[in-house]
Amino acid sequence: MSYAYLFKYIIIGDTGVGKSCLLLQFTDKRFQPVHDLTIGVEFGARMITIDGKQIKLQIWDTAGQEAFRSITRSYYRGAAGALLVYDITRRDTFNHLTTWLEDARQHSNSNMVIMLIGNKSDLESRREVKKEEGEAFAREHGLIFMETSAKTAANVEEAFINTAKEIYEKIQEGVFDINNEANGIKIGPQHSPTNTSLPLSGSGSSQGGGCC
Amino acid sequence: DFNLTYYSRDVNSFVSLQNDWDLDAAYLSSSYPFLQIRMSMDKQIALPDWDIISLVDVIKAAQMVATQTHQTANTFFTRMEKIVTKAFTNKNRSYNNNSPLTKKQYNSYLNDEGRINSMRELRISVFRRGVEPNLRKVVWKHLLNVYPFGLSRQQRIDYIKAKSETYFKLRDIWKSHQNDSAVESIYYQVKKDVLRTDRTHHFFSGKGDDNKNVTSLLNILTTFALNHKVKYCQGMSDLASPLLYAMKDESHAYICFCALMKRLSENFRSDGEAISRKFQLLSQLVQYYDSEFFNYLKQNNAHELLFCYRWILLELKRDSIPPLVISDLLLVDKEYRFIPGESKQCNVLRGNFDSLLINSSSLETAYSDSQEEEKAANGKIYVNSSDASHHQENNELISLTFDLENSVKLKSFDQLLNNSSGHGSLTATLSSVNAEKTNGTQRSVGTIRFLPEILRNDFKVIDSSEADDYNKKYYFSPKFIDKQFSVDDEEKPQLKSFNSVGAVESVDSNNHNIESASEKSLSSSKTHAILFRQRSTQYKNRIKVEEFIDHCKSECVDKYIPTAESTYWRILRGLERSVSNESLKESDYAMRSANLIQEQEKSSDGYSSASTSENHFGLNGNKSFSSSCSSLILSSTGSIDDGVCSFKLRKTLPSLSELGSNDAFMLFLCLTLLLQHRETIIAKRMDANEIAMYFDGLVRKHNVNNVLEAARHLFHSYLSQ
Repeated sequence: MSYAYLFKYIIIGDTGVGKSCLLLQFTDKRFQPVHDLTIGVEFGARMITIDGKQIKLQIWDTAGQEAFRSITRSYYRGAAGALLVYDITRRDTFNHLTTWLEDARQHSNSNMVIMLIGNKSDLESRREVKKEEGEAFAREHGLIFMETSAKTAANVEEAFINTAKEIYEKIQEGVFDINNEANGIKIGPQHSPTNTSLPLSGSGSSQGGGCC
Repeated sequence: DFNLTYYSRDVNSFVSLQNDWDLDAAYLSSSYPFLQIRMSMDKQIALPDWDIISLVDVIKAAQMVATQTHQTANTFFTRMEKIVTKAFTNKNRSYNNNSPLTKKQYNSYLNDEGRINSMRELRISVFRRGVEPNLRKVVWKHLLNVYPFGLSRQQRIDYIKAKSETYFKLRDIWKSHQNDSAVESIYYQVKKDVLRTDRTHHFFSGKGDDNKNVTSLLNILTTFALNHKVKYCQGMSDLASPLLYAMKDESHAYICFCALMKRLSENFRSDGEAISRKFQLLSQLVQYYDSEFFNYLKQNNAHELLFCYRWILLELKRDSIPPLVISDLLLVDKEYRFIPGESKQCNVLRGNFDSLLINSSSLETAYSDSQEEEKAANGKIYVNSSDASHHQENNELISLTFDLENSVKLKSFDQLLNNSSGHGSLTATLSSVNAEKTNGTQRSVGTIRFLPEILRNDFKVIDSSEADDYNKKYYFSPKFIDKQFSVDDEEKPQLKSFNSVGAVESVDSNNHNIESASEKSLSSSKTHAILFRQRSTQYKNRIKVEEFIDHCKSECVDKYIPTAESTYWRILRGLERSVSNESLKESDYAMRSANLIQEQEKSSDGYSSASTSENHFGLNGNKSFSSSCSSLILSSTGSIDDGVCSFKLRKTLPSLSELGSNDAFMLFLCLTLLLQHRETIIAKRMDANEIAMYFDGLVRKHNVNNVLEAARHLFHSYLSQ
């Protein structure tokens, strides 16, 4: 299981919005309606490919309840990406986003890529938060946005992978100091820093070209 | 290259022990109260008669001998330890009846009216073996302290009935106000969680809230949250569900849950204070029991052990398979609650309990005749209860007093007598070095005992007659960096000072002494002498094994010095516990660890030679060992050989009161889990994230029985320290 990079993610958001289910759908490709509530922090990992490179995602799924905040905060640090999740069928989970965002910004490194996720898009009939509202919030706070359904798996892959792409681009741009693990990025075991730096800059330009 | 002999009580001498038959014979004839085995090395190191030596030579030779003896003894010890551990583990297996408590056995704890005779005995029994599942309904209520003390069977039934009625009233109140916003918010909060609590268990299976047990759980938690200060918090449903499952009755489960939360609610407070204190304590335990692992964790920034959060919060309920039934275990540690409330004024000790270790078993080893022991007990010993700062400044002398009439008896105590490097001759790290005069011949004797406490033997005892030989000041320090021993024999031949400058375990303990006292139904531990007398009585009867550590606040001690003509002993935690007759009867879990006593004699002309080294291998109790042995292995990985290092670490072992008598065992369970996986973690070079993920992957995979067994041993060994 060699990888070029390891990205550390954190999933945050109110309790019951489907954080653990998103993770399970992403790592195991299954939906488990009856899922133990998360106490503290749980984990998942999966390998993805970006730009021909193996990237390992190490995902920290946190408990949503306020009481666990002191514990989960300690996991913000050292995360390269965050999925901030709300439930489109519960307005209060959307209303709490600001608090979550403040918390995340305050305790994480400033370059952390944050993806806003409106989950449970399969429950259209019970929708309380319009998609536009989510988009607006994301725009306002400089986040990427997506609506997902952990149940149907709609957009779940994309949510995780797009976040990884964003991080990857930031690496190419030199925004992240990849040698500092506190940024939530780790270079794979077989890639020594000196080796990776050269091909990286090369692939960076090619990646940039691809995007355009 | 060594001989084994055992002390035969029939013939009053040591008899060779060469095969299993001998061992059997030894068990049968001479194992009460414990078996004494002596291991003597063949190798003799002696200076030729004609050799002319200077003082320098003496020092060198002595150092060499000490080192050699130490090493050899260590090797032997390790080997012996393995063998004995194995033997006794096997033996113990057949001895120990680990089957869960049955109805019949439970009834034996009740008197005619159904009153519990001894709550403590019941707890100990449950602690050892658990409870039959269908009996939990009954026994857990006792363990959870649901009932006031001393109720008869009928009274208990009435009590529960009344409580149940109260519950139903409380429940009806909020049910009739369900539209109230406060009720509603809590109700839905709880509902969201109970719908995802243990749903894979058949008892709670089903979809949504179509299972009546799920509804019961919801009712219990909502009623609780609405009627208590502590807010509802995730995790509570996990704790309540086993209670409901065991009780099979909503109101009973509610009553039990309230009782459980008395103990656990602090963990759910939003300030996180209680829980972070527990992290810290756990971290200290790891540091103490496995410094290597701790260092590894520290290097990887994982020593805060945040990944143990769920373990602590849910008391491992989720992490083991089958689910650890907390209530079987964790309530049990109340059994070790030695601290009755009233004893506060006694506010015992502060300071370093660890520094005062008097090992009664060594008495036994050296003197099989109890009369002699008694005499020894008349000796006077001053030991400094090391409140470091205190003594550093005041250079005060020791407080523990003990009358020594018979000089020779001294040797019986484990001693840690380390000559300074200045004119030092002995530098055995592990060992307690004792000056001994034996028949005018000079020799080193090592005593190996199964006592992890060896490393803490940092008090010393010297008798007056020897003082003549030691007509000068000795400083004992070299290996024990943080300790300084000084003995001044000139002024007060009988008064030895023991000066500890070291870092001292800061123990807030108002408790330990008192605990012990109360254990022995001495409600106040005003007189240590009483304790001592009790102890020594018992001691004569049976106990060889227990070591005595004194915990005393120095003030407390100082108070006693003036009246030092009598014997003041303070007894250590372990002893208190173990001395408790009941527990001893069942099995004395006296912990032994290697205890190396090196005795060296120096004649006044400065002529020193060590000729024979002998190791006494004191085996105590037939069954007592197994637990101690295995715990030894568990607990002292790498520490035995590394005297100095662990010696220092010992200091940081939190006291029982620090751990909290309620949480202590749970912390030891966590510790056990950590230690069980330390090899893997280190071998795979996991970083903090990986460790957390590793343990996350082990959810529901820990084998309860293994963990429990190991944790019990570890806890035993802790308590005996």
